[in-house]
This record gives sequence, structure tokens and C-alpha cells, in this order.
Amino acid sequence: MLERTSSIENELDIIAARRCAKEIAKELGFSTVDQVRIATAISELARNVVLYAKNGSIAIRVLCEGGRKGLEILVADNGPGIPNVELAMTDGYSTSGGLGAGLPGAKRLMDTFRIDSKLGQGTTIVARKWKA
Amino acid sequence: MEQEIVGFWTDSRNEIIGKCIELSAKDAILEPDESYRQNREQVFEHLWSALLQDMQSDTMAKTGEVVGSLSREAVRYGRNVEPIQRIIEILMKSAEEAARTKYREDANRASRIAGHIKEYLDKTMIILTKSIIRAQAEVIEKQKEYLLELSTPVIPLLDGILVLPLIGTIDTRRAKQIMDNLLNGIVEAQADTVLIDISGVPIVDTQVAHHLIKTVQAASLLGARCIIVGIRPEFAQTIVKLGIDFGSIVTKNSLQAGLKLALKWHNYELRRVGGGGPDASTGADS
Amino acid sequence: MHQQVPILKIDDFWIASVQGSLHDQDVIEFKEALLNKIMQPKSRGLIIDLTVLDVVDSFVTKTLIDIRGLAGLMGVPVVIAGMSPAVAITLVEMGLNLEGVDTALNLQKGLDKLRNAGKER
Repeated sequence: MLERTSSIENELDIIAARRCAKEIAKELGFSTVDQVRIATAISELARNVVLYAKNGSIAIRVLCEGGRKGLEILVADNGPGIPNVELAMTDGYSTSGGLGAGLPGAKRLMDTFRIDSKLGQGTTIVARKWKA
Repeated sequence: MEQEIVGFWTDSRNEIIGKCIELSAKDAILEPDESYRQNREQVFEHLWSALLQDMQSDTMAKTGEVVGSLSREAVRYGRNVEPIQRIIEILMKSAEEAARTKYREDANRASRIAGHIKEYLDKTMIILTKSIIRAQAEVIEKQKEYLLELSTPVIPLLDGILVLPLIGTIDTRRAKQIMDNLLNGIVEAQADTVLIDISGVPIVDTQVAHHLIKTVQAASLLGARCIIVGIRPEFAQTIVKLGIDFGSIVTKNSLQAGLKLALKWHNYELRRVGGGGPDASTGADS
Repeated sequence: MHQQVPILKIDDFWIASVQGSLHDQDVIEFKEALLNKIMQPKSRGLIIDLTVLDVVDSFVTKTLIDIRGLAGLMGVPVVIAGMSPAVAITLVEMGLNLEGVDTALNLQKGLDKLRNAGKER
């Protein structure tokens, strides 16, 4: 099973991570729109890592389940955690002066989205996109 | 015990296949069927050897493959699947008869073998049923895709103006397809204006309205303006009742009215040249 | 590593073609550079061409909205040109909208739009 992990420490890593994801998505035969969806979701999630946790990692995994192909993004950091996940998932809510579209937007771009966050320990997000 | 059936199956190959040919020539379903007339013997041999391999490995993998490809082919070309069932039944019946003949003196052994054959018959029939269902699902899925493509034509009307006539129910999947088609059509034709005709959409609920709004928004990001036309009174009421914000979306009640607006945007003028044509009733209505 | 977006001038219109992927610092610098240009007198409009930009996320969107707002304060109209279908679909699905931002299919149409807007005024 193909898996690529890269560490996220600064803005350059964001671009590297989404380029890597886009390439894998292309290889898997995802449509152009899906490639952009995945790359954009990664961009949002990776930026949150840089913004709030300073550093973390992104793993991109190829999924194969009952003939279906998919891609999994696993973003993990040891940052401060999200005090109120529900609030963070609300459109327009931002503590950084952004548009507040990062997390809810990334969720809408992917098929499944799970977020686990513990205060003072960090945040883990697992998101999947299946090939149509 | 498994060894016994494997041994019988291998030794009696010729008897079994021979019996199959004999039985199928008299069979009411198989004989008139065109599809397996030419290669009937091959089909029996195929199935026989698949079963042999599966008896040796104690799986049903090979049989699954053979039966799967037979039923896929039948379903794809819209043929009857009954002959496949007959082929399996005849093979098993021939095998059973071969066993009864071979072990005439050993009734116990004969019925043991017959039991095994029955078991394999059941397993194969289950596989057949499953693979027919699967093959049908595949065909339906394919047809859905064809239908999706067929059902969302983007028509270039005039330089810079496209028409998207929507007909039938719009679910999420189709909405995505429509958006994809439309946006690519806009870029291809470098069109500034799109007329979306929804008069052929039977039910416009919140979901559909939401999809429409998203489509219009995406088109506008590219730089194309949409006019939604063919809005029926019921739909207008739904929008108001549900409190959906159609905000900046331009709407017209008919395609004609929408076209007039689009022409105006493009600085075109619709004008009849010379006297009334053969059909004088069109063109001037508002 | 460092990417600079060339900002060209045709007549009194500024044209910026964004190439490839920009990281956040590039985007911020791009915004500053654009604002410096359109502050010049006789600036009649700005076109940001996204034809070859592959990903537009919420950060880039916010920057585009900011640029439009600031340019608007200076009385300079902004047109975003050449966004790809995939990017447009992604933005809409994320719930991001560039409402109020003028768009055009390509650079030429963007230029036409700005010229016409100038006439109407």
C-alpha cells in the first residue's frame, strides 16, 4: 500500500504536500476536479498546522476497498488543540482573521472527515475521498 | 473423501461431456438457443475443468470466473440467462448419471459421489445468481452514466450564448455532472451568457434550488452570467416559502424572455427583415 | 524558491498573471506589489489572471477579496480572469464566494469589461 508522509513546518511544505497529493490523485485516476478538491483540502489543513501548531505531519495513503479506490489524508500535530471543535467547524468562524472556511470547506471537499482534538495534546484529522 | 470426487471427475471426463452433448441436443431450452449452439461442447469442457480445479483447491474461484464471464456476456447483450442455468444443470445431471453407471455395484459410493455433485450444483447455482445480479448492476450503472451524459447537453446558440435545457429529476450526482458539463462548455465556447431552462424539471425543491444556485455561482466565477428561465409558478412559490435566497440570480419566466435579455446583453437586436414570413405568429410575442 | 508575479501595464490597466503555486508569503507580497501599482495616478483598472493557477484556497480567496476591497477604496475596478472550471467548482463547494468581485473568461474579455466600465462612468 502506497503511503507518503511529509512533515509540515512552514508554508513551503504546504505547497509540497498538496503537489504530492495531486500527483497521487492523478495516478489513481481521479478527475481534474477531484484532484483540485483534494489539493485544496490539503492546503487548508496544512495551513492550520502551520498557523496553530507550528509543526506537524501529513500522510497521504492510497485506499483499496472492495474494488473501490480512494485516497486518505491524515494530518497530525502536537499543537494546542482546538478548544471547541464544533465551533471550529462552523462556516465563518476564525481565530486567525481568515475567512473561517478552512475546516468546514475541507470537510465539504472530501467524502468523509473525522477530527480528533485534545487540548494541550494536539489534533488529528482523517479525511477520505473515493473515486467516483 | 474429496479425493474420491476429484478422482471420479477426472476419470469420467469423456463420459460426462459426452452425456452433456447428448442431453443438450434434446433439451427444450438449450437446443433452440442460438448463443451456445456453435461452442456448446467448449462451454461444457470449460465448466468441467473449472469445477475440477475448484474441487482440487476446495474453493469456487475458477467456477466463479467461468460462470461470471458467461452471465456477464449474456446480460450485456441482453440475452436470456436461462440457457446458462441449463448448461450447469445438464453438466451435473450428466455427472450424476455417469457416477451411477460407473459405480453400479457400489451403491454407497454412487450416492456419496451424487451427494458431492449435488453440493457443487448448489454452489454453482448460487454463484450464477450472484453473478447475474452483479452483471445487471454493472449494466444499470453504465446506462446511468450514458443517460447522465445524454441528459445534459450544452447547446451553443449564438456567439457567446449557451443554452442548458434541464429535463428530468436532478439529484446530487446529476447536479455535479451538469455543473461539470456547463463549466467546460463555457470555457470551450468562451461564452459569457448561459440560459438555464428548468421548465423540464418536474420537482424543484430546496436541494435542486441549492444545486442551481451553486451552478450559477461557479459559472459566475469563470466570468459567465446565467439567466434561469422556465420558472413555473409552483417553483416561485417554493422558493418564497422555503426562504431560499435567489439574490443576485437573474430569472425569467420563459426561454423567449431570457433569450431577449441575453441578446440585449450582447448588443444584439432581434428584428424581422422584410414583410411577415410564412409563420407570422412568432417573433413578436413578449 | 521565491516567486514573483509580473505586473504589466497596458494603456492604463494593470495586468497580473499568477503563475503556478504561490505560497502564503508570495501571496502577501503579491498583494502589496499590486496595491503599490494601482496607487499610481491614472490607474483605470486591474486584471488578475488566474489561468495557470492550480489551487485557490481560502487564503488566496481572502487575499483576492482584500485586494478588491482596497482597490475599490481607491476607485480602481478589479476583474479576476481565467479561473478554471475545477477551481470554480472547488470554491463553490467550499462555500467560498467572491461575490462582488467581477470576473471574466479571459484576459481580453477582462480588458473589454474594464474599458466598458470606464465608459459608463
